Amino acid sequence: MLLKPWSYFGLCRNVLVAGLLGLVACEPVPGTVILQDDFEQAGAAVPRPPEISSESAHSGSFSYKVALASAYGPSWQATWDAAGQPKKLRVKAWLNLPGNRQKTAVVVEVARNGATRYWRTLSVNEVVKRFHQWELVWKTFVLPRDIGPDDTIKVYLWQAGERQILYVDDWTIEKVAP
Amino acid sequence: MYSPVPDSVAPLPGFIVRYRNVWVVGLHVLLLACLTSALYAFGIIRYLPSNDTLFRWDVIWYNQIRESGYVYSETQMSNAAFFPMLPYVWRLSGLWLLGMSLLNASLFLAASAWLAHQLRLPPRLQLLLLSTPSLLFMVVPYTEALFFVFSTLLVLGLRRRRLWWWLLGLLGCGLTRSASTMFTPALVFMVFMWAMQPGQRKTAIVWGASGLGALLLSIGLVATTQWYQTGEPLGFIRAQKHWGHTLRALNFPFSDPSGIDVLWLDAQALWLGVAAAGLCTWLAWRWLLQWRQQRAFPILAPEVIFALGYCVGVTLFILSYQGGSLWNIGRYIFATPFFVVLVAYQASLPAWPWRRYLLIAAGTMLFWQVFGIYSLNFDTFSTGQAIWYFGLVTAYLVAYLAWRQLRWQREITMLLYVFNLVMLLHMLEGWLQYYVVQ
Repeated sequence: MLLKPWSYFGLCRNVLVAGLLGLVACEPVPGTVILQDDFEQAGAAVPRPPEISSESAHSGSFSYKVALASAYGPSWQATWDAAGQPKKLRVKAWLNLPGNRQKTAVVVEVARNGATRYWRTLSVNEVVKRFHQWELVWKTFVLPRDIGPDDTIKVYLWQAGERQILYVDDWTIEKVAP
Repeated sequence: MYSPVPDSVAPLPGFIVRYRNVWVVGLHVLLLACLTSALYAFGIIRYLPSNDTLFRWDVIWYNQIRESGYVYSETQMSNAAFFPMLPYVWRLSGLWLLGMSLLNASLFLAASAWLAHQLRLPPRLQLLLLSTPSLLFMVVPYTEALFFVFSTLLVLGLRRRRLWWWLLGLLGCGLTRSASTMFTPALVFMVFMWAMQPGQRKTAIVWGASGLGALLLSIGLVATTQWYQTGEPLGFIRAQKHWGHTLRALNFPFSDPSGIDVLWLDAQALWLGVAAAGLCTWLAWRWLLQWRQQRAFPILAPEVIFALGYCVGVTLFILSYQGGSLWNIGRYIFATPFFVVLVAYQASLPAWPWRRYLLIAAGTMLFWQVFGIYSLNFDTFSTGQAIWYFGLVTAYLVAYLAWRQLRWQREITMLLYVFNLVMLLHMLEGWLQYYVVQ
């Protein structure tokens, strides 16, 4: 059985509407900002920290440069209580990568008494497909249900294996309402 | 025997009609060369296979075996995890990287022309299948091409009832890749189903027993080779743990280290594996009914049952040993003649009502939740973007399922053909740059 021509129009219309709805829904659910760092304050410091660079920036004049010698980029940590007891944590960052060879990841880790209980990543090379330009990456991490007030949450950028120079800007961590 | 409905063609000279599947392969090579040269000249793709760009990923391990044979290590990754057919064919050929890649491509094209001829694939469908993006692995020194050749031999052995083709195919596959893991359950399942068909019991048992013998022989040959060279006969099994191939629990949502430009293929391979598992379960249920109540059993060609079993085997292997990470599933399923057999079978079926496709599409959209698309877990995509991405994947999948009854079949086939080739070249370019494309 074949579709009638007008049915194709209906189908196309539905696909188009779904697509438009999808595009309208591009923005993720808003969250409460826990940390927002555009590295401008660090860039204005004297002397300027070596990892802060004015070679490229997504906003302002400075960004965080992850050098070849370093496996780690910007990091943040706080106890779950101090972070406002989030159930979900969204990490956003603008990245400027030289290529897709490196295995770079944004890591969210939860530790209790020094022992890691939760370790999840956003693998940057899976989602960034354009290089030498600024690209937004983000992921919402659902934290473990039994997380306690004194548990430590760590968020950091990590280059596993082969390293390359890359830039990070507008590093944001948000608490997402359940 | 199933056979897809051929395209309506104007009268053509006899030799063109007789060898039209060969002409289609020639046309495909010409179109691929045109597209590749244009995209390369315009700078849209920047890398082509060459001796400088092909020494990537597993090629390094195959070359190690080619040059100095097997090495086994208890404590770290070693080349014992790989099977001997490709490295030894490579050594015997005396070719280097580009030469071996061209040999692989030629073997694949010859086997695919033969397969298309035997399955009587309509030229349009043959062209579409030749553009499958996962076929990028046919133009690099990987095992895909040899596996395709030997799998074609076993598939056509089953179809034409040529026992030696079947046995040689199984033996060759078993020496090329760890095929016996996937083939043994598929073979046993096929024998049970085949034996239930009227007058086929003895044939099925003979083919099943001799097939298992061929697989055992392949394992024995691999073990002997490795034992002779390393002192460890089971290196090809024991080395797997250093490659991360250990039994593990499923980790939701599923992900793909190759990223979003390969995920859509791997997702569809997973869909096909799950659909094949559903069909095999239904067949097993009908087998039980027939056995107990003598109810009619659906007649299905053995090669189709084997292809279904293979897809189930690959899916179970990936899910059990990669714990929700889906990389490789696309090339294991799509870069094989089993995919061609299943598409050809689907194309030979009577038209389905469009309601059925809508139901399949709706079910498929729900199924994509295994990637967390309706929750907040799909990396860097909002729910709306993820639904749009997987909606397009579903539309692509339904186009293949409904191909035989598409009103604008020619236009849609050309659209898919060009899109597939662009994706093939894009993924190949990534692989040549050492990007994660598996």
